[in-house]
Amino acid sequence: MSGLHTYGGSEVCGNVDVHASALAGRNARGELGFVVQEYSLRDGEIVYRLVFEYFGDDRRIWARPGKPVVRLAQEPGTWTDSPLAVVRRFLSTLKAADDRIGGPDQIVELTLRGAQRSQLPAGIVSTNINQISRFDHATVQVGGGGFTFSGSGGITIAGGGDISVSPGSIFGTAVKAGTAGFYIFNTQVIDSNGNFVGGAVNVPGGCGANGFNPKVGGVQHYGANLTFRDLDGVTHQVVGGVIVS
Amino acid sequence: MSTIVCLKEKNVLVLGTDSRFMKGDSSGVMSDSEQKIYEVAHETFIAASGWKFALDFELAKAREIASRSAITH
Repeated sequence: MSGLHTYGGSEVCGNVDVHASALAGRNARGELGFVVQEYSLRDGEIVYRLVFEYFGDDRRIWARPGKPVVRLAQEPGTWTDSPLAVVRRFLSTLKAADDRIGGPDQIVELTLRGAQRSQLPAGIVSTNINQISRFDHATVQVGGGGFTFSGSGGITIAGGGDISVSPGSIFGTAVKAGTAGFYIFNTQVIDSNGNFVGGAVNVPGGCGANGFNPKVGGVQHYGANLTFRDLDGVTHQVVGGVIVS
Repeated sequence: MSTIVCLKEKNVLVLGTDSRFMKGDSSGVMSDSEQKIYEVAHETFIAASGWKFALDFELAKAREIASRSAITH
């Protein structure tokens, strides 16, 4: 039988889409646009063709596979909603329609302000963090030097998630407090096996001049500096000691 | 299979895809955290739907051409 191709390790015939890719950017005139090329099996031959090329101003959408999004193409919102919202809608529809499509969205938005990327795997999150605008569903893994926040926004965890810190040494985690001191609210100490150890805080390096100021049973106590002599006549000095009753 | 979605309007272009790669025989999911959009030159991106080895080839070739031609801005 003629017209067979050993695509995928088996002899096949007919029309099979093999691979497609989209190249997005600017042409030599600086116009924004994209080019789509496709490799397919046609009557036993691998065929290459330029499928679509667009650098115009009117809204145009190209999607692969196209069948699941035919209904979306007929909805007015597809042609009036924000481009980013439309692409997200297309991706959601395609994922629901085909088991071979899944995982987080990967989106690049090119505008006059440059490129903004959203929800990309860890390997891509390596550029200016200020350009990453949307992490709605993303899990971000950061290796190497980790995160550094230079702004004043800090970190807010609003969804009830935990912060887990695994210190790399016996010195634990360093917290740099402001002039108001370091306040601990409802703190639990968990060992490396996940067991609750207690609410105590070890301060091997010693405290500052103000010592501990714990609140016990709703009563605020302040550490005291004092000197006392034991029954053997030895003098002891206490710094930051706390008497709670 | 996977997917590509391109939308262009005026000065906005959005390129989107998923993060799934299937096993070679399409019998199951190989990974849901694969990078599928690559920057091949400044503000020039490629996304693929199909075979990973084909994407790897296209990526290498595109970067080679972009580097040699310096046609991107």
